[in-house]
Amino acid sequence: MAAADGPVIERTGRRTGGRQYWELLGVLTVTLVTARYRRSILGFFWSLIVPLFQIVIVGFVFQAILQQDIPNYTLVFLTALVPWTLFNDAALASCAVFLRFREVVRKIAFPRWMLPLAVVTSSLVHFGLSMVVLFAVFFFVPVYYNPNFLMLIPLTAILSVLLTGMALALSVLHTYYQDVEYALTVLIRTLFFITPVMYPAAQIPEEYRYWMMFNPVATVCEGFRSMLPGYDLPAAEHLVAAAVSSVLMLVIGALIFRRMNPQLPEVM
Amino acid sequence: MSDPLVHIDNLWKCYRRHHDRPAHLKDAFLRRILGHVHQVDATWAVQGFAVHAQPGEVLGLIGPNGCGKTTVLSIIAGVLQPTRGTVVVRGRVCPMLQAGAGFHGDLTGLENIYLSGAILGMRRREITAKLEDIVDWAEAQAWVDTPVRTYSSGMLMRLGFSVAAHMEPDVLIVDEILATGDEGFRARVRRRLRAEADAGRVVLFVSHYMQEVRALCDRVVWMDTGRVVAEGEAGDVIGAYMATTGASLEPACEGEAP
Repeated sequence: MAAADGPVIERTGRRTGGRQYWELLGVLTVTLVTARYRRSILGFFWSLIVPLFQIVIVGFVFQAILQQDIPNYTLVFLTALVPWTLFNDAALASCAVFLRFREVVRKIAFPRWMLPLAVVTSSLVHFGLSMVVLFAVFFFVPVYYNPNFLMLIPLTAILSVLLTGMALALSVLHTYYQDVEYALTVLIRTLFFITPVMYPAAQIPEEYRYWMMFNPVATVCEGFRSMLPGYDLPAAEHLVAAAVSSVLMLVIGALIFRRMNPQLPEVM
Repeated sequence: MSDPLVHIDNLWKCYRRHHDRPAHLKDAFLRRILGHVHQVDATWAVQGFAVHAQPGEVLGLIGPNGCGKTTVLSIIAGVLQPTRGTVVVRGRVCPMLQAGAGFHGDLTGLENIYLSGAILGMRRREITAKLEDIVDWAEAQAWVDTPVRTYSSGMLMRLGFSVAAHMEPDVLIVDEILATGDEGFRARVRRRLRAEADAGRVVLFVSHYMQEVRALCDRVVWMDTGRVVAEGEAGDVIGAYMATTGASLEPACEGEAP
């Protein structure tokens, strides 16, 4: 055979795909969920205690110090905090996921994109539990169930697609350049303040509001808030923009991942 | 003679040295700006290596630290991409991990069997069917329900080996993982690997314990600086290799460099 430039690789008996992939995703998701709380006494309740603290503190700052009078402030904050926490957790956790599974990545050939995906699905499990708690709260406070509740499904889908794209990109980028996580921490903190999470979008001055709502996370958070009486769904153009940008993020994330994935075991 | 399950020919693998790669974004930007984009500092870990293994064979790979054994095995496992050459692997490959690698410390042994089994490519049904055998073989009944972080390295190794050994792969890679096993366990592993080969599989075996290599392997490839130095019947090749190291047939003590 003539000396070929590239390698010639022939493999048979690779993974069966399909069901096996789903099972792997399932096992990895369970691993990430249980590993997070196995060694703590309060377990899952920590993911309620942390936002509760946040609400108490921010509520005090807003209402007592800044003298802002937003009716039902706790609920106004809580409904947007649930999707925000999903965004925050999944984006940050995806950075280190390959380094956490370093030995496996360096030794076993397996579909590596499963790991960032499992970060998103395990964050979705926490999100699901938080939603159960949120609806339990709604049981005690009078909330009028309205058609906006149905919008939660597409809004969650938009956020999940956005996060999958981000997780794919961030997981490989962080493995190459470990300042990604630091940069992301700063970015997310900034984003927290310019996203209507601890304040409703109606509080944003008119001249900025329209443009600030082109942030897909803002659209999702404000969309969740529309469960509450007196809050409307984001404008149609904002919803469409959020959907389009999340799909775009997924495509970009998949391209970055595909480009950087083959060399991953060598740089770890 | 049947077709080889593993066929490697004229294999080359180039590592770009780690300091060549910018470790921080700052470096990456500086390089781009200053034009230091191509500061190639290449190391050829594998240089024209060739090997083939028939079903039913236990093939030993020996050589000093850093001679490219692990790189070759990683390429066969499909983790690393070869730079040049031919790589043909027919069937399922199962790399055996260093003690406990791929286990998650906070999960129990049982949960970890499902985790590492799934990563290795096993179906859930398959794992459940073999669960009892896996636990029995590792002699882990007493501690399989406790978190893996409490295990000794011997326990980790037994459980890890047992999961991989029950995967029924076509090519089994055993890269210097038995260092912490006691003699009884090592003898059981040797019998198990021999049985795997007799069932028509290929076992690729790396060890610095020459007595073990001699006892187990049908054929041995001696590697140095990424090339084949000698290949043939285990006793001959090991004898020639030991003559160059100036050591007697005593086990070497160091572990394998990654």
